[in-house]
Amino acid sequence: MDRSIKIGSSQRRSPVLVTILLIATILLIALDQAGMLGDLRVRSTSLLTPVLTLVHQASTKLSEVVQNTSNPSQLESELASLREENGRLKAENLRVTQLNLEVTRLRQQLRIETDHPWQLVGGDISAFGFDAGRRQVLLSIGSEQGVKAGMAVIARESSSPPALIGIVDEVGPRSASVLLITDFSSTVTGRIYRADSTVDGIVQGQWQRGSRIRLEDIPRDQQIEAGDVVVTAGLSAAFGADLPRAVIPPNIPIGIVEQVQTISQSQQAEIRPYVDSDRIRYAWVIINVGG
Amino acid sequence: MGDNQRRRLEEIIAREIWLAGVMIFIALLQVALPPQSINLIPNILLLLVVCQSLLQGSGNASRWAFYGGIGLDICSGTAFGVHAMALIIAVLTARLVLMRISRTSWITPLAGVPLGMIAYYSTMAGLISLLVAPIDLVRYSVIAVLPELLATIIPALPFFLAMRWFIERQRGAVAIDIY
Repeated sequence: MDRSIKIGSSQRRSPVLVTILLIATILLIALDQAGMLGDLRVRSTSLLTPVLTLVHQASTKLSEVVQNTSNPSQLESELASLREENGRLKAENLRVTQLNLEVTRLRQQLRIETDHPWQLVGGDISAFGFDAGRRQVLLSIGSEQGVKAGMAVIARESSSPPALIGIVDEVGPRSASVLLITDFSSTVTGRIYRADSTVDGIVQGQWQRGSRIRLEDIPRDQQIEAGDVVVTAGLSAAFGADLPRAVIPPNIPIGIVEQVQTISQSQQAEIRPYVDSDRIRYAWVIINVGG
Repeated sequence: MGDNQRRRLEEIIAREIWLAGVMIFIALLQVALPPQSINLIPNILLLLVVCQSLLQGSGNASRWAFYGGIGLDICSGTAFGVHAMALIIAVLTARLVLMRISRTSWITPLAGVPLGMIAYYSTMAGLISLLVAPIDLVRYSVIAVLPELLATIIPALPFFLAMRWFIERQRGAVAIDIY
């Protein structure tokens, strides 16, 4: 019954096998000490390291679970501290996100101000179309930041140039309502630069008519075509007149001509605005035009 | 006949590769066990090979010791063969000293494991002193050997009984304890 005292063939081979293995270990040690195993260690270690890492992670997690389950009060206090930390990290994360957004916007502003002679003040768009009949947005900046009625408001989307989206309509100390250029009551002088001439017209909003904006009152003999870029003409500013639109500088991009129609003695062009005012969340008011 | 021999050789090689893989994985487990959660970590590999030696003989256990030792050498950065040699010496010591005692007796693991451990740590100390630098034997015994000896003796009997049960079950025999 007791097999340990029976000596089988495998047991008879044992001394030989043990001797061989001992000699093998001695040889291995000698070879390793002599540096004759080359990069065997490096290779074997790199082979086993991923497995070792996995096993270590698994065993660490397991031991943590065991430790936690064996001490529920510690687990509860740890949970409470983790919740507290989680809340703190969430708040911090929000703050970092806000700061990142602010940095991005300031960078954009700096780029615009570098490329154009405009001095800008940026603000969040805090409300959209609060008057159902008009296309308006409410900006979170006002007279305290130097905003005045009639000033041009620009914004930009991912690949678009900074483009006109509206004109400041009413100003409060810390807010300003902006009449979007797509509103029917919005009229701004627009200009198209051609190779040898300029074409001026009136940019009027068409939202209430089911469209976006249109360049109107273009003399029939002026040549315009789809793809032409429409910018502000800034005619009131050029005259230096004390008019509501006198602070809109020239050459603010508005959009691209999509379609041209001839009506009796004049022409009109449908314009695709560079910026979709429904999608923007931040805009700048041009408060000053430098040299 | 030739085919049979070749097939047998292939089977042996496959079995050895499988055994080496398992032993290296156990070595990995032993190295990866986090000491911060279990302050006393039993030397699983040593326990395994010594019990195997007491149950199945030193030849079989030496193969286990060799593969497991190589695994430990890779993981712990010691010279190739150091752990393997220490484990083989532990296997031999436990087996030779307890050769006359029946493996069915519960004394076997309780005596065999400490014997194996002493042989293992003595060999390790000797080899490290020889290959790396001399070590303070008293500190080594108190800090390294004694805690691990205690941690390994505690599970020795249940581990041995479980292994014995498993081996008997494989053979289709019924284990009878002699006390």
